[in-house]
Amino acid sequence: MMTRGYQEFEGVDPRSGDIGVYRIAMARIDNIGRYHPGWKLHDLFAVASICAKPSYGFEGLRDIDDAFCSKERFVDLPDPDGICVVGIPRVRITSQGKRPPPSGYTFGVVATKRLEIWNWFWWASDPIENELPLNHQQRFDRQIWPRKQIS
Amino acid sequence: MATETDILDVIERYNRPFSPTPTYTEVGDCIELFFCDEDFHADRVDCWLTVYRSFADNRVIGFMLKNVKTLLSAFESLGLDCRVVRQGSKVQLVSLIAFVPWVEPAAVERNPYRDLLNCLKTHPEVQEVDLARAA
Repeated sequence: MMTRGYQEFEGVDPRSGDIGVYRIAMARIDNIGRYHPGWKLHDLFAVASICAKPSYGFEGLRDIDDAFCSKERFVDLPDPDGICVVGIPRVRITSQGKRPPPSGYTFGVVATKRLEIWNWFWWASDPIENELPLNHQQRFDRQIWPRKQIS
Repeated sequence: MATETDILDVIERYNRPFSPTPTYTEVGDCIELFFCDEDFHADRVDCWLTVYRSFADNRVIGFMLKNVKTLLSAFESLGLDCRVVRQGSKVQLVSLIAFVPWVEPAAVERNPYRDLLNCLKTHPEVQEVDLARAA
């Protein structure tokens, strides 16, 4: 079933391992389509691929640096229950056709706890595990997928 | 559920010439701006700033400034005003970036802030963003 005003992708909910429905508001797609480089819209293919088969999942978007004052100063706290799924898609589909994904980078999809996607990026990879983003330890609160923790 | 055809349909809808336009997004409480239409990766600088860098030569081609409401609130408590009109919804991007070291002193040491301010200087057409026109 489609929800009006959203593009939906079936994928793995990293909190449970069950199949979940990720959604992107058409208004957000419109914003990206109008004002972001065209490459980003093509990366919707990568969004679908990583949501369907994430290599790692995290909960808690830690957007407050420990060095910066207390959380009380924040007007809107970054989503403590936000989700991020990451991985490297097998191929990257661009306006020039299928290409290998950029070497040394991993792809991340950022969503709210209701699995509403609001952004996606290529991030530099962790030097040891290339499907993880660099400094993932500082970016997220908890690794929740796969269940086996990163050592 | 979205199929490959659905995604292609979405992409084709936005086959248009690129024009740099800053936007504010309510969900992420962030301002984003791209200066050019290039393939890029995201480089997180700190809890405020992520710069977008070209895959081709790693130069800054855009940015995302997060936690905008908190920044504005912190600026106001310090008597700093980066709004175009007092109490208005439009903010000046150069001031917004330049004021960050007042709440995050370490930012002054970080080159991406300087690089970004230099980019903004060369793009006089994108100097403000209207927070009331959230995507």
